Amino acid sequence: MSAATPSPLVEIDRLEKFFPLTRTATEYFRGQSRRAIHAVDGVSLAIRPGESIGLIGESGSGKTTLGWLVARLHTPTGGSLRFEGQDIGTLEGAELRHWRRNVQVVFQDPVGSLDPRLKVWQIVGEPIRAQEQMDRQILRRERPRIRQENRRRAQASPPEPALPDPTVPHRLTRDELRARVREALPTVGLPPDCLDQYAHEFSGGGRQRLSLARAFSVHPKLVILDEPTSALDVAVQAQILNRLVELQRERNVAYLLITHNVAAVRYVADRVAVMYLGQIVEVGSVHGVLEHPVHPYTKALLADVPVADARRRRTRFRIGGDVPSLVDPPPGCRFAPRCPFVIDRCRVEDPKLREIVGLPGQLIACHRAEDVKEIPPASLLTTAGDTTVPTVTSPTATAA
Amino acid sequence: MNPPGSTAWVGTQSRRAWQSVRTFWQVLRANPLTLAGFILVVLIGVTALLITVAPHLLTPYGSNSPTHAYAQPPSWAHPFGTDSGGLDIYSEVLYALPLDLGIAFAIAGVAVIAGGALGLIAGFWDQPNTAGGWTSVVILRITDIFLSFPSLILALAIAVSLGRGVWQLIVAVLLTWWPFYVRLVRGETLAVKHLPYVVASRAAGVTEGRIVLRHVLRNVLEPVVVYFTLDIGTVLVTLSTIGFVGLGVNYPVTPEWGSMMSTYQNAGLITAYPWTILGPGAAIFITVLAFSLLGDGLRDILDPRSRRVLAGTGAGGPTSASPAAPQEPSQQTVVEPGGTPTVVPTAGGSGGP
Amino acid sequence: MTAPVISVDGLTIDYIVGAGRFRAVSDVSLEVPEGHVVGIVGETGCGKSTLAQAIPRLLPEPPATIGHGRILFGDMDLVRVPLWQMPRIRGTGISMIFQEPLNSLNPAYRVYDQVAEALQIRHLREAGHLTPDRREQPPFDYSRRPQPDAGEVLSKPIVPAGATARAARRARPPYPELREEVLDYLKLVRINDPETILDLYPHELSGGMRQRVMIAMALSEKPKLLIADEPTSALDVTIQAQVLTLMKELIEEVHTSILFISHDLGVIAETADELGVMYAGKLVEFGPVGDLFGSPRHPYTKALLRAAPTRYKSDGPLDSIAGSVPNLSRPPPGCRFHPRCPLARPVCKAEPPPPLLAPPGVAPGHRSACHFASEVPNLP
Repeated sequence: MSAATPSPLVEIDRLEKFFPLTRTATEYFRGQSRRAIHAVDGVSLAIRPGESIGLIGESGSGKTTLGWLVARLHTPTGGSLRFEGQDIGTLEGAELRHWRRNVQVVFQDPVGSLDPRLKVWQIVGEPIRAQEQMDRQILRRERPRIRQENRRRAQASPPEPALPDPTVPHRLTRDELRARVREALPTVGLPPDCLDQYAHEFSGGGRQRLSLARAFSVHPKLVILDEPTSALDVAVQAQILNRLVELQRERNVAYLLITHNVAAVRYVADRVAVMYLGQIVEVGSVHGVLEHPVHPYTKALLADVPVADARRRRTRFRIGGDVPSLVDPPPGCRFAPRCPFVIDRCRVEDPKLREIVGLPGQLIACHRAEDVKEIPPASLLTTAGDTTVPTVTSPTATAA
Repeated sequence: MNPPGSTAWVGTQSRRAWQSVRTFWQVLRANPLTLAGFILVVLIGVTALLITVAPHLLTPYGSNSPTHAYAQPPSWAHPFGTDSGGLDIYSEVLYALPLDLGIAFAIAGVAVIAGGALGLIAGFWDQPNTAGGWTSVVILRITDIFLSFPSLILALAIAVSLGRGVWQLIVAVLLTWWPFYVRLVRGETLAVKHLPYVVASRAAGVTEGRIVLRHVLRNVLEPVVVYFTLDIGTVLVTLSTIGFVGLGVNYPVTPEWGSMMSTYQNAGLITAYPWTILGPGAAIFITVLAFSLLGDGLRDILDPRSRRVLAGTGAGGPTSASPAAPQEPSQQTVVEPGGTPTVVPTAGGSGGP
Repeated sequence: MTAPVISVDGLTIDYIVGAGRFRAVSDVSLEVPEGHVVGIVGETGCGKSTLAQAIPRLLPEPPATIGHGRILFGDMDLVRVPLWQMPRIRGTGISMIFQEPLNSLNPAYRVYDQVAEALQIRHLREAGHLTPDRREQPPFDYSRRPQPDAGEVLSKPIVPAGATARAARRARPPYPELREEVLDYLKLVRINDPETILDLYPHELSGGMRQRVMIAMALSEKPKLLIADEPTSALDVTIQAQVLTLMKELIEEVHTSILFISHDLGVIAETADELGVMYAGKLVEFGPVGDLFGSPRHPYTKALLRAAPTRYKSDGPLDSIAGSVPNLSRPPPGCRFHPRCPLARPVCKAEPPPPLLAPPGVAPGHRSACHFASEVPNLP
């Protein structure tokens, strides 16, 4: 809990990422495109230092793309992306690579994200080596300037204190790198002497720990976790999640946890953002959103999560249809085709994230937020065959 | 930790080296055909070396030096017989070995390096509408042009225009050989470059060039090495074919298996002295077979995953290398959450992790 | 009490790899009563998928070998049935759906072709059993299928030949009828407007649609037993909910029994009537799902239930299970769970655990393989 809200680590403002689709020949040569996949369409979010934000949504929601945008593995096609106040959307080349030490990514696939030909110390040590190489390059570049500055200072009257003489450290030897990796391994719960093993010799949980070790090896300020638990068993999930929370407390690192596993978000996150079709539909504190979801999609998502409690066997609320495509979405609310509370306004006007009375700190993008606020997720569940949906009577609403 | 230079460090390094040799040997042993190929290749290599530096160990005759035994069928003195010019075929076959091997390796080697480099570039930097993208397009279209000719015909045509000789032969075959590697390497690069670990390296701040060399190249290399080894055999056959139709090297001035076969199969000679083609034919057959057997097993040797399984340390059950099993038990480290990690040595700990 | 649809008795499955052999499934016995959904839950590597694929003998028989045990389907022991005769039993007897429908649907064929193929096989088999005059009889009532009779099933041709083949070909429905039937089955799996997807290829469908098509194909053969191996693990939560609802409703309509494999306890809780818990190749607990969740009698089951994260960060760390799954080529002596078990005593290491026994104070049919089953309720 921070007393005065520190300035945000990451500020995302109406960020957009469109992927162009196949084009006609003229469009190809002119570099344009008519149709595009609106993977991320106007997302605004702030991440504070040391905070963990959960990003939940289903496939096609754009949460993975958003995560990659924050890690600058994609270049935004619109909107602004700032890290510690600096615009990183336009960073390129060596500057970008140097910035990368601040944000690391743990990928979803524990098998594919580790090079099968490299040993543990090479995998975990790679970011260390890349960053220290860049440090040395910078020092080497700066050294003549600093020495010149020091000479000037020495000759000034009165003589000014000298800047520290930059000695470019030698290149990390193999053994030094191995030592660093050896220190980093126990922080994720791996034994320190598995340096020479290959990735495939570890179980799924072990591999995920390797990915974590690699991400944390350069002490980033933000770690983006892309479905860190989806390939793991329940018991291992619990271990990894515990470890993540501990690491956050120890190092004050911020997390962006991207997952469809609501339970993981409940445990790890401070705040939660729900995404649907490239937009954030609800965001707030984790207690607030998970206990009092307002947006109909959030309600449905939470109602549909199976609970390991045989006493609460329920049948499900079926949201009609499948997730529509991301290509050139029509105007209006994206959820309108499937929403049980839809009114005409929803199909025409894009809802904006706003607060509603009674739930401070929670933002919802729904025209009928006040009307549906009180409807609990459980009431969206019906018995088999019953397709009636709870309607909300209100002077301005038409029955769904 | 052992500082470099200390005796303990030397011990560690030599222990590591010994372990990889041992694993290599275990993998070889697991696959008898590969072992046979490997032994054959070693023998061929040793023979090539000996015939160059100490030919008198293998044969009493010099190169291209006629004996007085003209057109003798195979006998103890002349294992493959002699030809109508009195040359001992066995000796000529041996003298041709380093040349043939050298030519084959030169062709395949340059093709791998040049074609592979082009394929890597074309595969990795292929974003449309960028400099890399256009380069890639140009490379691929030129490759397509070369590939659209039947390679043998093209090689023959080039060989005809260049005339006879060793270098001419190399150039002729090389010009038709490199496009295959471009295709091969490009395909593999395309597959690898989207894998999560490449993206992860980029996210760690590694430069693109280093990513290509370290991650992409190493993972692309494996099928390329296998293909290269098998290719030696194919190149040899192509050389023989070119020599067979009378192009390429000029025998008997320069011994070469293909041209030997060409000389001996001339209509009159072959009916009179049928044993003459036995020598070069057997040489080609054995060499191609050796490299093919080795190439087949090379994949298992190179892949760290199958290496462990085959070496018997993976007796702990199907690892990710075998797709048949629906589950994936693997070697495990036991970690107590919140406590000190302890390691349970599992099958295949090979001296402990 | 009707006979169970399928009864696995002391099944043991080994894998032979290289020089070693390891035991993926050890002496597992369970039954699927008619019209019930039996769930099998366990972590990766516990053998549940091996067990599921062994029942219709879909495992590659080298390297897998079925050691001893029986799989009773009707009066047939599927372990003894020669592999080449198994196609008679698959499809109309036992059908299976898998986790990743993109892998189990043929990407080269459209939806219509794939569902129609399954239907045509069934028609051929049914027609092959009909003599010309029997074709006039009313359609078979699948809700009251008798148990398969080994003599009958194994003696009928897989695909009829000769005179029966000609009869079968005459009996095969013409294209418009076949198309109607395909559409019926697609509607059965709650695909609205199935005409629109008939011409699509699998990669053009969403994950939920693909899985529904898979279910349609599996059910179009009207199997007695449907084995579902993690059918919803690859799907989104809302789609998963839809598919699970669908499956439960279908049990009523088609009178199929389901053997449901999953690692997700929540999914099992929603779907299954009985549940078996597997660990390291052994079945450690089995019983009615309500009883098992409410009062588990095996420390592993209890730990598994506790490990599901349901709390907030502020409530303290999550409970996980100490240690990790053992290597099956060198399983721990005695009870396989003893290195990680809070109740472990010396006897657990010395002796193998007892076979599944009913501990005191539980519902009938609830069995646990633990020396100290009665102490489990005292665990936190």
